[in-house]
This record gives sequence, C-alpha cells and structure tokens, in this order.
Amino acid sequence: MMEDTDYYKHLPSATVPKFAPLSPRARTTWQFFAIVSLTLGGWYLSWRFNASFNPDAPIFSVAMFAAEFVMYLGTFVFFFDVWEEPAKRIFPPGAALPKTARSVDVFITTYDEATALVEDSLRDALALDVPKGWSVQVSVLDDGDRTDIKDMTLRHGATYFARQENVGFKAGNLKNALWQTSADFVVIADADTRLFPSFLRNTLGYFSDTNVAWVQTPHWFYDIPAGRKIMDFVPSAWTKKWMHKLSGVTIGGDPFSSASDIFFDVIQRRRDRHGASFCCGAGSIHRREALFEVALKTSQERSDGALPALQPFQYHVSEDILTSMELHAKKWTSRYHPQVEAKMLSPWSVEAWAAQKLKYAGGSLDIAVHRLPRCLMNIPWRVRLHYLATFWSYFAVIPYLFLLMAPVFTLFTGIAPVASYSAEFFIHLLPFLVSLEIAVFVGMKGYDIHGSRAAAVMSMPFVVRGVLLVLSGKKIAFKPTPKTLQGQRGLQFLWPHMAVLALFALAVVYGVTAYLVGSRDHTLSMLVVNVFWLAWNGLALSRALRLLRWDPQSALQSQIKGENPCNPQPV
Amino acid sequence: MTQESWDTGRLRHVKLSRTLGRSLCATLERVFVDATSTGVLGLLLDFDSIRKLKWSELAALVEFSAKNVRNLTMGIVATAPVRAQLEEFGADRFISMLSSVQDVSTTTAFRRVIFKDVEAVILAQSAVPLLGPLIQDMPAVLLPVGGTTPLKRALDHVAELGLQNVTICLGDCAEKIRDAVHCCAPPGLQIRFNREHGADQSHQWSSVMDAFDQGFGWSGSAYVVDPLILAGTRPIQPLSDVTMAGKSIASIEGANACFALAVSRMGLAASQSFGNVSIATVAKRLARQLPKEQCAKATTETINLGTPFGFFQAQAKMGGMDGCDGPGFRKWDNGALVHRSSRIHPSAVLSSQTVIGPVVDVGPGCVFKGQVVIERGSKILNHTLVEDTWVAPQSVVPAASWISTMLVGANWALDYTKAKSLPLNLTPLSDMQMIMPPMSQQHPRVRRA
Repeated sequence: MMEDTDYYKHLPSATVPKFAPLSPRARTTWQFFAIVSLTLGGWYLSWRFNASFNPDAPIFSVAMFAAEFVMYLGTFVFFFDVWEEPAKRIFPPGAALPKTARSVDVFITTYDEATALVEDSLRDALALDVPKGWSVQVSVLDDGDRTDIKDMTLRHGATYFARQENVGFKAGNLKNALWQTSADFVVIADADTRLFPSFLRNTLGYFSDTNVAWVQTPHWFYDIPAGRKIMDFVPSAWTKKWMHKLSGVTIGGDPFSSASDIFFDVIQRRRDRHGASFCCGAGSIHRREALFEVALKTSQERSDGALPALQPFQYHVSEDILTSMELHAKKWTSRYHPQVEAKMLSPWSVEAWAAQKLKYAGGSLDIAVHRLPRCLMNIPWRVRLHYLATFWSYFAVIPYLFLLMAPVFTLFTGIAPVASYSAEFFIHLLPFLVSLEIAVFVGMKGYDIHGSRAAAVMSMPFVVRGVLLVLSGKKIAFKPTPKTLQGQRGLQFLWPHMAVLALFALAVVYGVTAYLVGSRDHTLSMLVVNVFWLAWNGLALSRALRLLRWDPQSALQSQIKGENPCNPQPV
Repeated sequence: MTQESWDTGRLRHVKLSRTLGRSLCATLERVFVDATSTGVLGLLLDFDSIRKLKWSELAALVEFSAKNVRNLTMGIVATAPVRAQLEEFGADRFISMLSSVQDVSTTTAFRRVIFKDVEAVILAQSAVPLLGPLIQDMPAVLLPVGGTTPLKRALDHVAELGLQNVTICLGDCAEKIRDAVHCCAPPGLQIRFNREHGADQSHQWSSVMDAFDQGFGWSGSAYVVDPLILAGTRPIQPLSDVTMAGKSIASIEGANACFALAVSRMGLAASQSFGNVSIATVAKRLARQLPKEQCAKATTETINLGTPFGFFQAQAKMGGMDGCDGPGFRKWDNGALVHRSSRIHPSAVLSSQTVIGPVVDVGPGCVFKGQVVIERGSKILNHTLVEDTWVAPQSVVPAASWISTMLVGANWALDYTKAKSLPLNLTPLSDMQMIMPPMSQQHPRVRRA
C-alpha cells in the first residue's frame, strides 16, 4: 500500500489535452437544433397547458406542468449561456504584455495538505517561464502555520506567509498575503495546483486590455480514471467512422464525475464572449488593483459606520464566484484562457467528493438567496444572464426533484399528470426531446452529457441539503477538499441516494404488479413512460452503488497498472 | 517603499514614499502594528511625496485606519489628489485630520485631538534668585513681561494646545497666584491647585511629584510647563506638540538672546522615569570661535537635561538656568562642555539668535525663527520650519520669509565652517541682565548674586 498523501506520484503520466474551438459546422448544427428544440418545447408546453391536464388530478397536473415550464425556461437561459464561442483570443508567446506592470506574485494556498504535495506545486511555480523584464515572487500561504511547510518553502527560496487565525479561510489567507506583497498581478494556486511553465506567457497578454481584472484557465484533473471509451467496444471501422461523435462517451470511468470539460470548455469558454467567465480560484491570475478597488467600493457600499474589514477576495465559501460578481459589478471584465495551463488533483474519496459538492451547492445558493439582488444590480444584463444560468442550475433542483419523484407518485397511486399517455402526448413530447438531445449533444462538443447529468442527479441530495442550510440561516462550513485517499466510507454520504433508489425500485415493482393484477389506473403506456423515466434517473443514481464499493487504493492500483488509464481525452 | 519616522511620545509622524520598491501595504501594516503596540495615541502619516495612491495602498490605509480608529488618532498629510481619494471613501470617519503639509504647520486641530486626555502641570512656585528684588513681594510667574505674565502665557499655551485639565503647583504668594489664575485663565480650562510649598521646598520636582500623587497618570499623561521658561519665547507656534522653549530673561525686551531650550512636554516625567532620555539640550556657545575667557563663562551656560533631575539640579545649584556638569558631556579644549548626543526635541520652538551645536540633532518639526545658528556636526531632520535662520554654511534664509516646506532630509549633517561670518552677539547668562518691569518707572539692574 502506498502512502496516503503522495499517491498522485505513482499515477502514469497523462497527456495534456488541447481544447479545440467549436467548428463552424458544429456551431450551425447546434444553434439550429437549439432553436428547433425550443420551438418544439414551446409547442409541447402549449399543448400540455391547453389539452393535457388530468381532470381527475388538477393539482398534480398543474404542479407537473409548472415544473416542466420552469425547466423549459431554464433551458432558455442555458442555451443563451452557451450559445456561441467568442472569437479566437489566444495570446501567443511574445504577444504584447501590459506595459505599465512588470511583476507577478504567485500564491500557493495551503491549510492541511501534505508537505510533499505543496512542495511539488512550489517547485512548478518556481519553474515558471518569466517574460523578459518581469519579476515573479512565489509565496506559500500556509493557513495551517506549520513549521515543516515553512522550512520547505524557505529552502526553496520562496516566501512564506502564515496567520495566527484563520479568519476568512482561503480568502482571508489570500488577503493576508496581498497586504504583504506588491506585485501587479497575482496568480492563485491551490496546494495541488501544478502550474505549467507557460502559464504566465499565455495569460499575461490578456491584461493588455486594461479592463481585464482576471484570467481563468481550465481545471484539468490529471488523476481521474478515464474508463473505457464506448468506441472501444465498436467492432467495425465503418461503424466507428459514423459514430465518432460518440467518442467522448465512456464506461466505467470516474465515479465522481470530476471531469469538468463541459463546464470549462463549453460554459466558461462561451461566457467569455461577454467577458463573463467567472473565477474558479485555482489557475487564475488577477490584477491586484482591480481586487482592491472593488474591495474598497464594496466595503463602502455596505458600511453604515466604520468600515468593515476589506475583502479583496470575498469571505465566503464560494469566494471565487462572489468576487467575480463584485468585479463584474464594478465594470471590470474577465477573460477565459481556453487551454490548460495547470493541472490539479480531483477528489479521491467519497468524503472529499461529498464535501466539495456541498460546498459548491451551499455557497452558490447562499449567494443566490442573500446577495444576488445587490450583486446583480450593476452587472451588465448579458453578464447577469450568465450568472443567472449558474444559480439556476442549483435552483433547478427543486422542479427537477418534483419531476424525479412524479413517476413514483404515479406508479404508487395510478394518478398521472396528463389525461392520458396517448399518441398525441408522444407526438408532442418526442420531437422536443429528440431535438433537445441532438442540440445538447452537438452543442456540448460531444462530451459525456450523460455523465454530467448523472453528476447533477448525484449532487441533488447535497443541493437539497444546501437549500435547507441556507434557508435555515445556517452557515455553510468551509472545509478544504481533502487531497488524500483517506476518508469516511460511502454510506454516510450516500444514504439519500440509496433511499431514493430503493423508492424507485419499490415504485416500479408496485406499478408493474398493479398492472399485472389489472388495476384500471395502471395502463401500459403509463407504466412504460414512468418506468422509463425512473430507469433513466435510476441509472444516474446507480453511480452511488459504485461509490459504495469505491476503494481508492485498489482504483489507484488499477490505474497504475494501466487497466484504467488517466487523462480523459477531449474531442 | 521607504519610511522615516520620528516619535514625539504620543504622536508618531511617519513619512512614507514609494521609492525603494517595498510594498506600501506591508509598510503600512507594520507602521500600524508598531504604533499600537508601543502605545502611541496619534499617527501622522505623511504621503506628501506620493502623487496618487494605488487602490491597494488606499485599501490598506483605509483598512488599518478603520481597524485602529478606536485606539489611534489618525492624521494624514497628503497631496490634493490623495486627499481627494481618501475623501471619496469617507476617510473623515476614521481620520481626524486630512491635510496638506502647509495646513499641518498652521492648524491645531490634530494636536488638540492628540492632547485631549493630557493633563498639564504648571509650575507656578519656582524660585528665581536671579530676579532678586523683583520678586520680593511678587511671585516670578506674575512678573509683567512683554505685556503679559509668564503664568498667563503658560495658561494660554496649554489652552492653545488643547489641554483641558490643569494643575497649578503653588509656592510663595499662593493667594496672589490663585487670584491671577481666576482672572486670566482662558475659558474651558479645568484648573485645580495642589498643595502649597514653602520657599524652602522650592524644588519644582517635589511639586510635580505632589501633583502626580494627587491623581495624575504617571506616564504619558502629563505636560509640565514652567512659565518662566516659556516667558521669553514668542507666541508659541501651533506646529509644536512639544514645546517648552526659553531664552534668557535679558532677551525679553529684545536684547540679545543667549540660549534656547527645548524639552519634551514630558520632560520632567520622562526624566524621572527613564533616566537618560533624549531630552534636548542646547549648547549656547560656539566654543571654538570665542576667546578663552568668554568660554569660561560659556561653560556655565550649558544645561544638562540628559540625566535625571539635571534640569532641576541646574536650577537648584546655580540659582537659575545655568549649566551643570554630568555624564555624557565632553569637554572641549577651551573648557566648554557640550553634550555629546544632544538633540533638539521634535517640534521645539527655538527663539531667535539661538546657537545650536555642535553635534545636536534638530527636529524634526522644529520652528526656527530668527537668526538661529546651527553648528557643525548637527543634523536638521525633516519638517523643520525655518525663518531667517542660518542653517548651513553660507546659506541664509531670507528674513521674514517662511519656508514651510524646507524639509532638510534625514541625516543631512551640517558642516558649519564659517561661523565667524555669522552675526553672533552672544551674551552669557551670568552677565548682568536687564529686565523691564512695567510697574516701575525705573528699571532696576539686577546682577546675579
């Protein structure tokens, strides 16, 4: 058994992916099907509203329709979010760099991560290619105030900052270092963020535009199991040729769905057309003056007496998105650099995964409930819509939960939300669903949509918990995502998934039995539609079963042996 | 980033500039930490050399000021753009004074804030044998001098400083002093009297001790004023937060000055508490330039404030503000005694025709009025205001012209080599002095006993 903290050193090396832009043909196809699907969706909903309600269950029917309608509106927002990619805006090495600035601080934040992990990140940061005439100071920001980290840092000739207390957590840690340094730009790296030498060369150029406050680069997890591509199971070359669009679909890959290609290469990249990509913390570079200007102005707006402590990075569980909103509200803009400039580690334990999901959900919902109106007030409307899309993805869990459980209700009670599952129903629904699937498949560049949907369904219990926490006024605890193989085993975090799966199974058994014994309410078409829907979601939730059996050590061994190689290959 | 700072007890003045590349934010953080940890009450930050603050610097300033608003009075000296930046963010909520360099030299607002809880002790019982028959039936502090009395000047002075609570130490003729106080005290002062001391207990320190015993805070809260030292000065310039200046009695009516003296407003207390603190002393003699016989007289004029009780010893032993020997003094070839590490206290007001040095640090923040001569080896620190004063070889500041921003950089040592060319006209204190009491038509000549 290998060390718990340096497992990543044993992983086979992974090839850095190159993210290609959306081709003009793919863009046209995606936008065509997007419009078609929205049109057909409107047609379907119009029919649903006018002719499909079940007169025997008006409340259920209306509620179901409302849920579908809200989801449809969400589709509008999402399609706006990812409508098109911006014009190519990559600054090659040697491109014009900001003329009035010449210095960069690299901050590596750590709290309780292993020294070896931090040392590797520090080594990479010290190996950055520095543009001629520029100076770079690398600092380790140790909120754990540990002697071994300090010794290691000083041994490498870097700067070490520690605090007596952990006010503001990561944001406070960054602020502490910001006070004590003075470079024009600040690179944020987590303890596991391994910056590539080209990081500065490829990001500093964006700051030639004096309105740019920060540049975000993609998060690439170099340690996640890739699984087997579905194409590997296709025997004939001719079939492969025609199914090449499915090349992104994998089987048996990362059970945590950590790969964030859709978020970064699709969503963030396309938001960049409006300068609306938001900061994701690690792998970003910031203009110091922008941070402080916004901190000052924000603080001034909030205060009614003496100024509260300034927060260059907002003290919040989701400090990155909140800081982004504050910066956008003050007319700063952001840029997304579409190529990988750093690599990092994904969660390898159920505990780490659960902590991360709860943190993301709770943090975003907290912003949405408590700060959204004020933050959005001054943001340009296009950028505002992009943020709404983000928060919508969390709030959508409420109507989605309703849609998820509706078949259970129907199977147990025999009450359907529609008058009948007639041919007319399918004529209206299926074209919408098919065109939507095509649009999303093409629009998402062939990435694993099912995996993303599964990840969304798997996150649902955490989002619900986040909603409850936020609505009850409780603070979302910040806990750094553990970068170890250790952690509590699954059932503690997965019991809601198990319970829902059991409920699904029970509902299916009950519904089928009722149909077989000749229940008048349980028709075949109703059974097919509802069982199919339950099976679809059950399939996504079934990842919880894999997680229950998840053993990081053996998964790692299998990865090292090449049975389940690293590095998802983007299309 | 670089900084220079000097400390006047409660008020710390820090000059900040962006020249050495160090982070201003980090420097500010350190300045604030230092100030709060050393118990400084006021912090005057000087950004005068910075044209405009960066957002990060502004943020640091706002953050630290706001954080320390309860235990630190903040003042900022800055250019107009920087002041505008600060005003935009409502800096008046936590910065008591936002001003230009020029304004600092003419306003008392900031100083009043700094001194709001300082108590004043006026030593009204001092015996001055030098005055002889003039004070047979009149306390020295009530002698009419320059159209007023030393006591009135002392009261006006503490009022002008913003001090509220005053204790007057009484000696002989206590009733006369009480009556005079009731008549001439400026409004707003809370005055009390400590117990009276007899003529044989004229040691002023005992009065101060007594005053402290009656409820003063011991350290850092008392401002001791000797009216007779103040007596000879021109009206106190509001720049000084620390002012006890004096000159010879003979100069009251415009005769030649023979010495100037500046001590800390905490002088007496500090002297007692900490021993050899940097209380100012002034050499009053260009030892090398005068004939030996005059040097012998000049020797007695050196006042040692660098040792505990030195000031009082000087008065007690010599019957006036004469000199005394003590540790830290160096004897010159001609017999003159000069304190090695003398220092004119920050913000002292020096009277005209004072000769300072050699080897004396001046300022920062002093006011020089008249033809002050600064001898070799002395250093003029920043923010010294100069009027008609010799500050460097062959350099004469034009008469009656204030150069309020003539800030001679730190460690800029004067090499005074042409003292002979200066219009020196020194009169040793031990010589016969003239005083012109207005109550008498005939001005008696008083010779020292």
